[in-house]
Amino acid sequence: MIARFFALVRRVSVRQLIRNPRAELGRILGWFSRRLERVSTVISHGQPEIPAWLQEETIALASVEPGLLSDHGAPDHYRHYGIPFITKPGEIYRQLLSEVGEHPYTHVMILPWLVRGGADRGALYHLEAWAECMPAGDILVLLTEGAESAWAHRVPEGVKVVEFGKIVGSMGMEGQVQLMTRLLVQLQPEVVHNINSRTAWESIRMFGVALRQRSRLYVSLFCDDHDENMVPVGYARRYLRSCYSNLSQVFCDNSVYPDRWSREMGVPRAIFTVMKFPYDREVVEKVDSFDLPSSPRILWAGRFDRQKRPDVLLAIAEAMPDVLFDVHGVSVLGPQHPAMAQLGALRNVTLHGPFVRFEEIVRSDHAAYLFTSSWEGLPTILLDAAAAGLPVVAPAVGGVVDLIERDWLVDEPDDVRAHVQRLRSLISEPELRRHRRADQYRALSSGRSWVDFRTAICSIEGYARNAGA
Amino acid sequence: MNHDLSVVVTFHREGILAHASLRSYLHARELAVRAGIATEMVLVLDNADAETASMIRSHPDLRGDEAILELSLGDAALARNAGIRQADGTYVCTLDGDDLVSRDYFVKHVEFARSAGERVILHSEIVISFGAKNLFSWQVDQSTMPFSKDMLISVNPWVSAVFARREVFAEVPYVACFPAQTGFGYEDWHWSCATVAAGFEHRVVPGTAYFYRIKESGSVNLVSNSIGVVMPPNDLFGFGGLR
Repeated sequence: MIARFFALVRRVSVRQLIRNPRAELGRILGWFSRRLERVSTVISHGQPEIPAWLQEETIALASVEPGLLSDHGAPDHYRHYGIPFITKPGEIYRQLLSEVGEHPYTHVMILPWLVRGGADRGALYHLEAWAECMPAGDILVLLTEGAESAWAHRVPEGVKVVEFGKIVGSMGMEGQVQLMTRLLVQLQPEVVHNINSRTAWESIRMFGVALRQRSRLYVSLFCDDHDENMVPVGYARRYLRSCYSNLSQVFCDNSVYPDRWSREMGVPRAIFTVMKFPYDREVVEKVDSFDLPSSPRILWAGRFDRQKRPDVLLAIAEAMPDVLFDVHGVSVLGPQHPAMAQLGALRNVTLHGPFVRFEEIVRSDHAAYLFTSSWEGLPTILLDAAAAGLPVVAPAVGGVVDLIERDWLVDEPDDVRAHVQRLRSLISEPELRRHRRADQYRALSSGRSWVDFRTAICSIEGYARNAGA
Repeated sequence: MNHDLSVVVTFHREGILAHASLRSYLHARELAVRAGIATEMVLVLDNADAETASMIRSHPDLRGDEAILELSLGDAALARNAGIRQADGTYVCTLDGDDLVSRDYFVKHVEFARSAGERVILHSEIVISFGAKNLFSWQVDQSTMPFSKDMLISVNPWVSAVFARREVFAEVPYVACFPAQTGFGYEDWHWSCATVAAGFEHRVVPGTAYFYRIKESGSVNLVSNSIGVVMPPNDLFGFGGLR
């Protein structure tokens, strides 16, 4: 027991525990449960000694096959191997089957969860498009993480949702991949679409050749993440090279990353399809003169993590002490970003809590929406800002260029002066504000209607059944 | 003439190792014949290389009545099915071309089978694995040892050498996999699952052993493991299969 305790201690990374406690604790619990699983389920069959009759038989056969005896001519080198009596994966698989239900699903979407977020919003668009093309009952959604899915209720009516992660959560990743693969092999759906599920990525990586025999495999990717050294990381970097040959298509919501992944990793550009997400809320174009009071404000909204650059926001707010900043957002798990304390202390910054709908935090005295970030796909919050008629100031990262003209965007995410210059221009020039607003409305109305999206979905061969019907 | 037992051996590229295997099998055949068991040998050479084919055709222990099938199927399951189709015995015993059996393997299997029910599949009691690893294990008898269908999603408790009434193989034929092309594999594991799903009971024959050669490289299992194959769809893992 003491040895096991020290074995556990050796596996704990204090650095990781501080940086990402949820992931590290999950990893430790996974290791611990696997140990328990092994101890509790492995029972050897039979006696651990070779019976006398078999020793005689082995010696008798050695004249036919010399390799049967050890170097000193005896059958004494054989170790007993007990066939493991492991039943837990089978039991969990049975439970999974009963949850899935006896239906010949044709389309399976695999997600880590369904929570508030851009990828989740995209997943729902795909599901809605599917549900318009086929009976919703033919669609199965597998949620592979154990977390709560606050947006599960937004799945189209009739679509079956199974919380795979909660059912298989006591197993390690290898076991989860085994059961995911078995389920997909047995279901033989026409289409499997993975959006950000690591379990599904692993299944495709390890068993993609088999999976693609009966199913067309699709994935959605949005952008890279970056580690502390700004090395690009994430599912694309980790899995695309080993999986692409088994994929029918890779969907991306922006045009920038397919080119980048193709150029930097050699993945054929033809495998990517740029799938613009629709803007699904009503856009009421503002036609007022966009006048501002004498003390205009700037809106910032997002996550307080290093990707969204609270430090750049801080520097901009410090450089514009005469302008008020409304900062809405949520902190992520782990240590607070160092800029947050200073940001909270600035007299021209008001820190608000999380928000539900973007349009509810927009005020008539906001001159602009400031979007700071180091890397992006196409953040859906920019679509919200455009729909709200609020001019966006943002860096030219990732797919932002798909929505906003390159000339207006700030070249470098760290360039505080350029951000400040654009914000100052918007505050002082009503014509520029109106112009930016109109340009954003135009971008929003170009290829981003529901019909546009549905047409694009139906044009992908074999992706949506009854395409165009 | 209908035989009591048809021994179906599949060869591929075993080379000189096939000599020892066939010697072992033919010696066990001799003992079976002496015990009054009419036994036929069906030797299947599937895409066999020249050395292997020569080892079989010129083997000194051949009696001359052995059926030798030279095929180009390229799949272990199809090769085994082809051999079984050629067989006419009441019972069929499948063996691989680089292994060995205990000398009275056939005699004891036939005797056990005659006193067992029709829906049983027999295995040797013990498997000695030799070569790259040296291990021995007791195979699982469904009726006398701890067994659960739930095991089969994680492990195949039986080696590919099996013994059953010939009609069992017609009811549950081996499923072609072509692992390198399809990513599906483990045709023997699949067959174990399919037969359990079909209600057959797997038993072991006391006092028998199968000597299973583990190669350093080149075996179908090693190739399957290295490319990461998975069992094809199987009734056992469908709705109702594990119930």
